[in-house]
Amino acid sequence: MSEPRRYRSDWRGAVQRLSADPRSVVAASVLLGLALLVAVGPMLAPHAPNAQLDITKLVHVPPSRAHLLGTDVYSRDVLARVLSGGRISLLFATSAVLVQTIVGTCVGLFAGLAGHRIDAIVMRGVDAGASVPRVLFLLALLAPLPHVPLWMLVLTVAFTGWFVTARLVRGEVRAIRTTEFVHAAHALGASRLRIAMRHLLPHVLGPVLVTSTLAVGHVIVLEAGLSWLGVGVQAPQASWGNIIADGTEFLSIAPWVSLAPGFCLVAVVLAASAFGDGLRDALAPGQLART
Amino acid sequence: MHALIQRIWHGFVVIALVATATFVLVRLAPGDPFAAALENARLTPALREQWRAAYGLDGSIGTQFAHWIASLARGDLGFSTSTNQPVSRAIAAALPNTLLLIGTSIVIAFMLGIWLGAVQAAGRGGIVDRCIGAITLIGNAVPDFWLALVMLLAGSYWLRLFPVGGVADLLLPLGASWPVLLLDRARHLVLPVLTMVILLVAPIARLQRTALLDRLGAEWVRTATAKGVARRTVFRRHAWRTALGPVVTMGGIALPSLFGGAVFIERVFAWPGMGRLAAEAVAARDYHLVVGCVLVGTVMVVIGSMLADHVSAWLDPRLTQDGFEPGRGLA
Repeated sequence: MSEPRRYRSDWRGAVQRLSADPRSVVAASVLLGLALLVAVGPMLAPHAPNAQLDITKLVHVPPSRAHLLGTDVYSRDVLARVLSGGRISLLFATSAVLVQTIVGTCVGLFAGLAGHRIDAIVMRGVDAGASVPRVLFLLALLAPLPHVPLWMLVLTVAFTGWFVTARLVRGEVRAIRTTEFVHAAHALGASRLRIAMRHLLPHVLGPVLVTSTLAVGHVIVLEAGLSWLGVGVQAPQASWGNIIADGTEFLSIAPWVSLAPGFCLVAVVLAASAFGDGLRDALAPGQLART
Repeated sequence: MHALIQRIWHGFVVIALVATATFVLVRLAPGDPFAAALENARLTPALREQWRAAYGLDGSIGTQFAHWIASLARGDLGFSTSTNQPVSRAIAAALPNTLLLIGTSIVIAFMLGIWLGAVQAAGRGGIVDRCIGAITLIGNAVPDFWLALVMLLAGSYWLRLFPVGGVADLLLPLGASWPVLLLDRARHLVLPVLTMVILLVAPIARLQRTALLDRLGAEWVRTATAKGVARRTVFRRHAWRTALGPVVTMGGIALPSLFGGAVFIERVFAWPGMGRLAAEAVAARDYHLVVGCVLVGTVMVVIGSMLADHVSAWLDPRLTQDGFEPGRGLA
């Protein structure tokens, strides 16, 4: 059996290693830059994201000085929509990941600390959840509903995404629950809850953080996919996914509508996964040699 | 042998849970397959009841579920209201197309990914390693449906090399000879398969590279080198073979997302497979077809991950000893 991995809570060292790694720095700058751009961009943009500028003359205008990313079929400025949609997409992904991380960590801690039978039952449920094609499941769930408010969409996506975190946390907890310091805490009279929160949680926080960073990339693509299929963020509110959907029908005559938000998605996912990798290396320097 | 039975039992439990959850969830939402057609003031309530009863949509969820299980035991998946045929026939028509798409993609992606990862590991830190690494990083980040659109745009609109969609050219003469048909089918396959391969190859190559580097530093590999085994043989027989384990395991784990990806790719390329069928079934509130699609998808995922576990156990004999955990490789 492998001995329990040790994640010392060496956060300061991790931050130092992270800022010394050019890849992570670039990734973090891209993420921060994009976040800043979508936060203040819509205020600076010359056009409103939903304004139909001139539906007879300005339909499908190619990228130009006046419209940097062109206009779509309703003569809306694509740049303004990409900025405003980015706000929704990024907010959506971060909040959904936050929720799924919390749920997954709680379930994982619970299953890891519970007895064999409860653990087995919970983990079968997790296995089942992880076996379902997520997109298909969400599609089946969301398509029949007439209008899903954004917060409910976030929760629905989050509740189909916590399985991986739960599995990870449960595995880590199983590995360290029999170590001396847990026994010591138990002997000193600490309750199960206290052991979970004060002694086990800090140990799993590192890997959980890495998984969550990587999950941001997955969820932003998932949201885009659902919106593209028409069951995610609803028009007229822009999101990167439904802007791509607006352009899909006119791909051959106005490819810029679909291309621009796609490149944004690639940038975010690329940065999130690079940062996640950097974070993993920074948190577990012993494994650095492997990559 | 005991372990195998246990795995099959676990797989069965997973399938049962998924089927039950889907069955209940699709019925929780308001409306039903006939909502649009039957909620009509000109029809009497009795007539509506009669129609719902005819398609097994009356009664509580519990009774419906009992009926469904009973017919499932007879191999009957129910009747698809939107395509007006038995669910099994609708799935039988779509499944081969998806299997063709996914199967071809998996085979190509695994061969390419394993080869790329090995090339990277052999020349670790070099220019080739970095270039392939950068490409796979991007392949990991591209959204599936967007990549499919870009492929369509580039391959069909700009280059005009490949058809925009479908599985076959409908205008082919009826008596076309088989090489013509085969070529036509292949031409239709290129873009969707290319899309899927790009998406698949990136994680495979990355994992293969990591696993190989890990194995190359292992004791038994160093022992083999010390014994005087040729470098090529060490690489192939000792390191490469065991490093395949995690890759195969990942293939099993990645299956659900493959089916998810099929929804998008099939939609973009108008490929009449399971993903498209499921998406259309959902839109039409075709309960039995939705449940049938999810069920078939899950069964294939479970079988796939079981196969993956057994293949990786065969590749790395240590896995069959203790420490073997289903669904989890060595990495």
